Amino acid sequence: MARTSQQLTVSGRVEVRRQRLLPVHGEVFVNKGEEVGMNQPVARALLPGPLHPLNVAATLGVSPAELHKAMLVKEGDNLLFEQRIAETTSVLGLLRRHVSSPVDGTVDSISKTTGQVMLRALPRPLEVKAFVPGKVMEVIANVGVELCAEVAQVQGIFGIGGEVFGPLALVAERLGETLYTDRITEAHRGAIVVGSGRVTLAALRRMIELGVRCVVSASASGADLIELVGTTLNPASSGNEDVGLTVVLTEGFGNLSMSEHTFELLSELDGREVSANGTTQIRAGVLRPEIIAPPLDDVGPRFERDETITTGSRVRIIRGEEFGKIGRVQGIPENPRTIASGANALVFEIDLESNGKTATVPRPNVELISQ
Amino acid sequence: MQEGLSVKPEEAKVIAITDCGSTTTKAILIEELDGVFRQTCRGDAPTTVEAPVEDVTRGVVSALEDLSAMSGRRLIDDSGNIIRPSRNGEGVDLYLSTSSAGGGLQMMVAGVVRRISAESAERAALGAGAIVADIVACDDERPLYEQIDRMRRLRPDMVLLAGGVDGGAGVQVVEMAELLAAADPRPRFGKDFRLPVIYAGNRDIREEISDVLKDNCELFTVDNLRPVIDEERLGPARERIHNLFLDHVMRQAPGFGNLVEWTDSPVTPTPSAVGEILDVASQDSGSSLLCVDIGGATTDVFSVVGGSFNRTVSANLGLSYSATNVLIECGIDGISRWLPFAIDSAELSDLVMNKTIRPTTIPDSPKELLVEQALAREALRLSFAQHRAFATGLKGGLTDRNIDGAFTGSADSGGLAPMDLDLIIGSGGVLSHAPNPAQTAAMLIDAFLPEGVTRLAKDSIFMLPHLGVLSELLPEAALSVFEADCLKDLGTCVAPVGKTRPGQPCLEYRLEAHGVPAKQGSLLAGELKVIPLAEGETAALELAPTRKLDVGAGKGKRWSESVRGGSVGVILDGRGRPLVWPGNAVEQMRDWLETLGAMTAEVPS
Repeated sequence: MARTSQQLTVSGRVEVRRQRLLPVHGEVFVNKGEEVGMNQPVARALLPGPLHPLNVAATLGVSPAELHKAMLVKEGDNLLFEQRIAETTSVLGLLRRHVSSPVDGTVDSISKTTGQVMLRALPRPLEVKAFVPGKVMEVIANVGVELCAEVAQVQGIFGIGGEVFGPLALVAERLGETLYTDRITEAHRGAIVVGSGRVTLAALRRMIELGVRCVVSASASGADLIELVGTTLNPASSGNEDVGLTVVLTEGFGNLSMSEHTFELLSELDGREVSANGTTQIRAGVLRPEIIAPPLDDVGPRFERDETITTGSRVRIIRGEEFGKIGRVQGIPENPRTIASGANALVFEIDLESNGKTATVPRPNVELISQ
Repeated sequence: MQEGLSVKPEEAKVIAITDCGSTTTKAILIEELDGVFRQTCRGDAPTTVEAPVEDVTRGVVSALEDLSAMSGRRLIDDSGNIIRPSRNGEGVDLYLSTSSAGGGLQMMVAGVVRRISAESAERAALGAGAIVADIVACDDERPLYEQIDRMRRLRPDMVLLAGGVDGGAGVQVVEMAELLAAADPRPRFGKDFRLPVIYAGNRDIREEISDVLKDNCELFTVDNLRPVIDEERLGPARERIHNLFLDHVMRQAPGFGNLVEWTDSPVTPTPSAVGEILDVASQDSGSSLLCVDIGGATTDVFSVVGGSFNRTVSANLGLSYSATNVLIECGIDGISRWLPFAIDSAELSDLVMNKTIRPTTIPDSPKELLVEQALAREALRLSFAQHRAFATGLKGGLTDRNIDGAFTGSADSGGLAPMDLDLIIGSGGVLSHAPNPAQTAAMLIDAFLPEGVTRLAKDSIFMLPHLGVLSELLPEAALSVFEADCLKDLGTCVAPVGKTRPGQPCLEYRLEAHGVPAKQGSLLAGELKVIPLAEGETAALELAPTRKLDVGAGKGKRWSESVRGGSVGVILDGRGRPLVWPGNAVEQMRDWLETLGAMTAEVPS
């Protein structure tokens, strides 16, 4: 028996529990026991506006201790953009100096020590939607909700961009097909487009032009994504990119084909309303990008999360020349073996389904297929 | 357990030490054998600071039980307690621990001028073993509102605020405190816990600082880091960081309250412990050394040169989580130049980026292994460049950067020159577990470009933190294990520096080991040679460089000393500094790796 941490959920019916929380206190709209739709707002808050420090005393040429004489507003006052907040007049009343507010907002503080005035811009509204269609199990007052839902779920390996909603549109005809621009039309505006192989940079740009909300594909060239996002792309922590398109890759970087099981499930979801999120976080609480939809009726046995690999487990190879191949574990040697790189590593012996051969694969390089 | 030890440290014969890392808790057993301390066994278990267990001591007990199983020595009794003192082949006399679990110690530092007070604050925090999440300063290029936003988003364990000289102006320091108060950052652990802020700036404005921060933070005041512009005193701030880490931060983290009670000396942040053992080793041998620990997300570089200690953490340079950052930083060509085969640039970037998104996978072909080692060279090279930029010394007279707490002031190091390094230690999976030690030596030489004569070693199983915490109680025992069990010698690198042309003679050498005929010859510019000299052996090495070249004694000056062997031997590196790739880069790289014995079989052509 060996533990595995490599496992992505691909299931037509799986129970998920999700906390949908505000980053600051706000208002929760829904009640315990209520059923919610994936696109339904459940909570809203006003995020404090950014602070704008101004050294008013220095600008006016007065000492911090004397600043109060020049101030036209006091702590807590509301402000309008370009409203005068302080001024001085010369002895003869000819020369006036003043400082105006660079924002709509409020006066946060006025320092007698430094002469610094902190202005806070107006708060920004933030709405949290359910994302998963299900039942409100718990309301956390002023913060958010915990939802429980049975859903169809496809977790990808990497994505960019945040949460979006729309109808799923399958554009691939067969497995492993490269997604070129010719498959994208006006009809895909607002849709979640699904391919089955690599997506090209030109196709990504075309989708942005047309207003496609999200593309789900097996793979993309890493260099293409850097070209699209810029050098701020961080595969270890993504989701805040603002390129106008959410991207979910199910396999990784390169010219990789989608796993058969994932493609079959996405095909079944064709035409349905789904939610998608590209946010990926590789460490400190792993988050993978995902597609969520109402559950499918006929999915066979219920998905059970099982994180151990034993003899007979069905697994998929996720690195190297045999990437994507599926097989069954037939041996778990206790001691490390020398692998092709020359290193010693703990391995699985796997009977491959594609050719019946036995492959010796380092244990970290496989993922469990649980169905 | 810290009060009333069961055995006086100097009488201890059996010692268990754990290092609670982010993912694994590693335990080692140290025993006195025939009057000499040796590391005799190791064990490990997953760290249990995260959900669902949320108690670090569970992982510690598992690691000690693993150690028991490996050593045949019972360490935990039926009640789950560590058996102390040792008796009848059971238990230990001392139990010590370090920790970086739960993300280690995360700090934010703030100062007035980025290159003066903020940099001193950064140095104090790094020296205390912290990860510096951000640095803010009045001359920061970011707009102030962005700095405030960043302060608010960060959830550091504590903040170190510095700035101003004693008796000088203080307005800007108070301004920085006002920004901090406005941002109101919350601590990482403990909902009802106020964020600790250490003030180590101008002592004459402590009252004003207190007025600004007292409502939002738990304020602690220590001596100024820069009491005068040309003097840096890191000791008091560093000591306060340690105490706050133990008394506040660790006690908030799941299970650490118990761990602190279990250990026979204070639990030390892992990087701080590494600094301790390196400092002790440097003082003992009188040598200057560099140690690098390359991980998946970050690369730590430590140096002790001329008695001056420095540590840097390159937060975005690593081989899995940060692999793509390395690629972006150095470019495709930066990586491919280290490969002994041609590779398509798209394939190379895909290989690197796939490692980031599947960080626990390992290379299983020679091609993937060599790509990972090429990436490591660049991550190490960039980390070292950052370290050298940081370790340039103060603009002026006195520094006080010893890690041992004897903060008496010493001459400014004036920076870190590769020629000054006597020993380079490599640590981290890609270096410690390379299939072939020659590959480790090749990575260290190519990344750090040592000059003159430099001993190369690797940390066998990353026990530097364990030895660091041991060195606080038993420095001689720690040093004994450091040399005998921790360091695995790779060999000695000889690299003449100076102007020369390819093919021209660089130096004449003569190497004489006991009982073996002397080996002698000449080294040409551009040439790489290896003379076998086994681990544990020493030999007398005489070098006579040509007129314009230096091997450590000066241009054209003869050099002669005893050098150590290792799993590779004595490496004569005439390639010059910086490295140049004459002709076909792929062929050249293949030739260099073959000469070193670092080439793997079945490498693609």
